[in-house]
Amino acid sequence: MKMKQKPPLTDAQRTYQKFAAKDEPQSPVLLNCLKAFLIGGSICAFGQLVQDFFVYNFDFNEQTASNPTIAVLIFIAVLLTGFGVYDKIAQFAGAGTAVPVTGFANAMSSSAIEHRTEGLVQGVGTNMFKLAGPVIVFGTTAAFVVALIKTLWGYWGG
Amino acid sequence: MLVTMKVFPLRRILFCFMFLFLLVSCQAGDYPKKTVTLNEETVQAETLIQNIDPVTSAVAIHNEKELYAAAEVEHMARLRLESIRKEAHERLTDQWPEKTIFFSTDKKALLELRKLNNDLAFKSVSKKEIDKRLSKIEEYMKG
Amino acid sequence: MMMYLWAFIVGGIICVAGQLLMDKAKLTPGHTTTILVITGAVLDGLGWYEPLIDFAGAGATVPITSFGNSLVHGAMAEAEQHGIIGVVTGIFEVTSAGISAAIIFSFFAALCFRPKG
Repeated sequence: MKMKQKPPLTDAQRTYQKFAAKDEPQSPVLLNCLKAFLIGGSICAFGQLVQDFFVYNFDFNEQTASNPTIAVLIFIAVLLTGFGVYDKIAQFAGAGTAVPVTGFANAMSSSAIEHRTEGLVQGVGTNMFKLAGPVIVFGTTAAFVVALIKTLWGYWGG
Repeated sequence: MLVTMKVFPLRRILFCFMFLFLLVSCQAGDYPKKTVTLNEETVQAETLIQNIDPVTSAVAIHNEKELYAAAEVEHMARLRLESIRKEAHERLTDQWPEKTIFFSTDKKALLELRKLNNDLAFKSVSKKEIDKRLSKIEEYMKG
Repeated sequence: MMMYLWAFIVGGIICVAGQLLMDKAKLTPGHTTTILVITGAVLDGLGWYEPLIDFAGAGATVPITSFGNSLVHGAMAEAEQHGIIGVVTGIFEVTSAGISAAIIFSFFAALCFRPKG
């Protein structure tokens, strides 16, 4: 990130920079993206597996099977969050675990667990949506606007 | 409660995932893989659909007033599934204008239709049973 | 089997987009997921998300973008039946599984687990 430094540097500073550069990952953005790709992709492939499981064994077709799939993934994510494993994976994967619905579930369950000590209503109830709230608020609002435009388009446009 | 972390290391979680994977892949097996020739009319419908370029396999079953058909397409063609569906529906309607056409590319509909196709060929299925299963398939097709 | 491959690739790409938003644009995970949800809603409005689901299966339904997509879908389905009021009443129609699962499981998780240092 630090491309340009001011020219006058003491020896000590230079040594420190060399030292720091050694510790810094070579290309963090690229590496992070690769990690996110691998982990995120794996989660999605696993989701596909669960979805196919529902298609083959239960009364779901391709489209309706995505609902129970998401529920299963959320369940697993909440469980892993409870055991403290999800945060460990998240540290490694970055957006790879934040972007799939599992990240949404993790955000909700971790804040619910964290505030458990403040009581069920004041703690869990109030804080559950602390991190996940924006997703629902903006998602719903955006969906409302989009759907409204589309509906009105349908009335007047064709 | 930090102890729980030691009881549940990453490796064990991975193991659980693998176990689940095995479980899932083992159970998904009781659907027939091939469409069997039933009669001329179904074959005609099947070839009609298969003549559409990206379609790899198709099943069709006739009822008195309805025609149920499902197809599988090349993966790259799935991006324009909608237009393929429309085209197949058009072709079938042209061929059997007096029938109600149900066409789908849904995996479940395909699997169930093929199962019924195999059952019709090798087992005796009562009329009532056929109607019941077809209406179920119709439900899957709506999706 | 192609399905799994493409689910992996498409899902991975969406996650990389999220990672880039976080790393390059310096956004918090909250902002990132919010942007992705809105993107999903808009893409569905343009009618581009549905083909992607056909193509990549869970690769498109598992990332949070599908949340926006299915919100719009529920709203549109109701709007077709009940007119403009359906937009409001139907918005959670399709997503209810995800949201209720997340609420219920999180609540029980809060009962069962203790916070970690």
